Amino acid sequence: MTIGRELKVTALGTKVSGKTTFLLGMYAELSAGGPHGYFLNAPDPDVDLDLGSRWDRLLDDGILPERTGADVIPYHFQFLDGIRPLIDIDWFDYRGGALTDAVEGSSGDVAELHARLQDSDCVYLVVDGGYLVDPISREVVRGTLAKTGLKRMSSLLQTVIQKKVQAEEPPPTLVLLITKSDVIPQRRREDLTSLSDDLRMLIPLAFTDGITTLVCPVTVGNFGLDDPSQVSVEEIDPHGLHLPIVFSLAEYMRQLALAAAYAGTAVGGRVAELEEELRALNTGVFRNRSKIGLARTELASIEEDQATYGYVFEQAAKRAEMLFGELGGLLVFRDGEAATDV
Amino acid sequence: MNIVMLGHSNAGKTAYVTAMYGCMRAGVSGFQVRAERREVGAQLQRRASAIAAGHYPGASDRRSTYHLQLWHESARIMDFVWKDYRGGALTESSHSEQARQLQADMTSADGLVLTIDATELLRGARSQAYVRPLVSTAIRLLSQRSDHVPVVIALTKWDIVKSVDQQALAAAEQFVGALVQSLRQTDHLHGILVPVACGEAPRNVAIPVLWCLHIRLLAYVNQLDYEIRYLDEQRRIAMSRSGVIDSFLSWMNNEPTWTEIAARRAAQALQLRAGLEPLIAPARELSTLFNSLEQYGGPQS
Repeated sequence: MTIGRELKVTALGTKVSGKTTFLLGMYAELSAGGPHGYFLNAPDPDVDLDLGSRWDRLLDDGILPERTGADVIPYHFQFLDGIRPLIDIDWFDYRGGALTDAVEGSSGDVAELHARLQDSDCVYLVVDGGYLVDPISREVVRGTLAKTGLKRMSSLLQTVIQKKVQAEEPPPTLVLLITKSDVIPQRRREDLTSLSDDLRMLIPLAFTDGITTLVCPVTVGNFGLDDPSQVSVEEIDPHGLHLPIVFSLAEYMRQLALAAAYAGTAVGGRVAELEEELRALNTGVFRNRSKIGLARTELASIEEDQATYGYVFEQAAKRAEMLFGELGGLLVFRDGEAATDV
Repeated sequence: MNIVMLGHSNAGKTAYVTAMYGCMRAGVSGFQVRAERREVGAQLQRRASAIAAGHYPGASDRRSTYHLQLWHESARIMDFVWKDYRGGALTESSHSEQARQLQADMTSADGLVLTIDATELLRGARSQAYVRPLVSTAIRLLSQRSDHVPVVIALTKWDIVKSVDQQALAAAEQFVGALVQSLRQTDHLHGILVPVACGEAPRNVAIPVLWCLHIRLLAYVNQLDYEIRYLDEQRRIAMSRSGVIDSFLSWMNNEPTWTEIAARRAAQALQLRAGLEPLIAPARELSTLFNSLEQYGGPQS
């Protein structure tokens, strides 16, 4: 039984951010079987083949995936626990013109991206680790914001989050995905607090009230600062590629569990009201059988809903706990503070 | 019964089906496999002899289909079709006729044999990329199945990795462990992982085919048993409703009496029993062949 609907993920990043390589590595790793027997699978065998063969080219010949001309690449995946489908994933890889300030005015592109972001459960802001090699000082903030595309991403997200808040909807979860993290000096890479402080300076929005953010450095290998199209296959050593999607699912499941608990409590109140109503209707000599029947029917239906919410809560909370357990060592921020419940 | 064998090019699929025929034609614990057509059987036996002498067949360039029969002692127990795909079908897009055929065959397969060249498991990071298309395809198709399906993960060319077999087993655990775990979580998939060698020192050659046939036979026997019980119950109910009044009313309405209905159910049950009885002993004997193997999934785990 699937317990969620569909997880919408939007990945934003400039054309050289390493987003495609990350996606290929993540798919290769999880489609072969991830931790605890989880799988990511493309229902379309041609997509599976395409993603797999592009990753194989990197493993065999060290050829990094070509930068495609497309602005938007949608993918449909299924996340499975063994052979049991858990949730569908609608993945949207965006590297289009709306990410550059220059085209802010070209309404079609921007409007499409806004709509997508508005609909997303999770947004990945993909940042090239090459820009985070040294600690970020006030002097370089402006230049780094422009080069990484974070300035534009931040502006787009600001609008989306404001609309979500107005509509009383939860804002999307964020992942600050630092690609090519092999180029960041080891001490700095391992001290995620310092790295997070720098990111807080670059994109304060990700560390504000109501926002949940994962800081996640990933790497495909030790390729250094150069950006060649071909790398040494001996240096390929992927790390952490599965963690962002594991986090997205964990957070989705956590929110689903919270929503189910809230709904369960709400209907619990109505159950108490109906039971009281039935007690009142069942006293006295002249009883209104029609009202009693209606109340009983409503009570049975609500109790059924309550059981469903209970089941969803139990399943989602269990999944969330298991998935969060995979993120050991990474920093998750809720409302700007490092979370202790992951 | 359709058994689909899947694996990369040069994973030893054709060698396996040939060696399996040679081994099973000679007989294993009273069971034999025979080809439906005599000339096919003769050809397979000639090739099997060559493999036993260390001469392996070349890679096949198209799907080969073998119509085979399982015999126990002198009784023909079950017919089955063995489909051996050329390796490329696994890594070709849906534009390829073979790839399309493979998808269709796998969707309706009654048994699945996934072949993995054991020597490829010892190539570090590249091993995962080698195994990935097979695992991914299996997961995609098995996630759509809810019926009983035997799934064999055959680690072929085990004779070549014999000197480092513990290392190869550890690598198998690493690269197909998640698939094995997936099978273990189900009641309807019946998995085994088995090292296989086909050459001069054959090993476990009969296990993959007999496992598939065993699970299928068991499912068939259970189905027959269920139908017989159902018919017996129907007969009992019909008998309880029979009597003089029923006979009169049935005659009036020109419909069969409950006594007649009970007799029909009894005849149907008898016919099914006649089909079931010769299968019980072979099904039991087949079961004993896998006692030493770890089984993943199915009601027993």
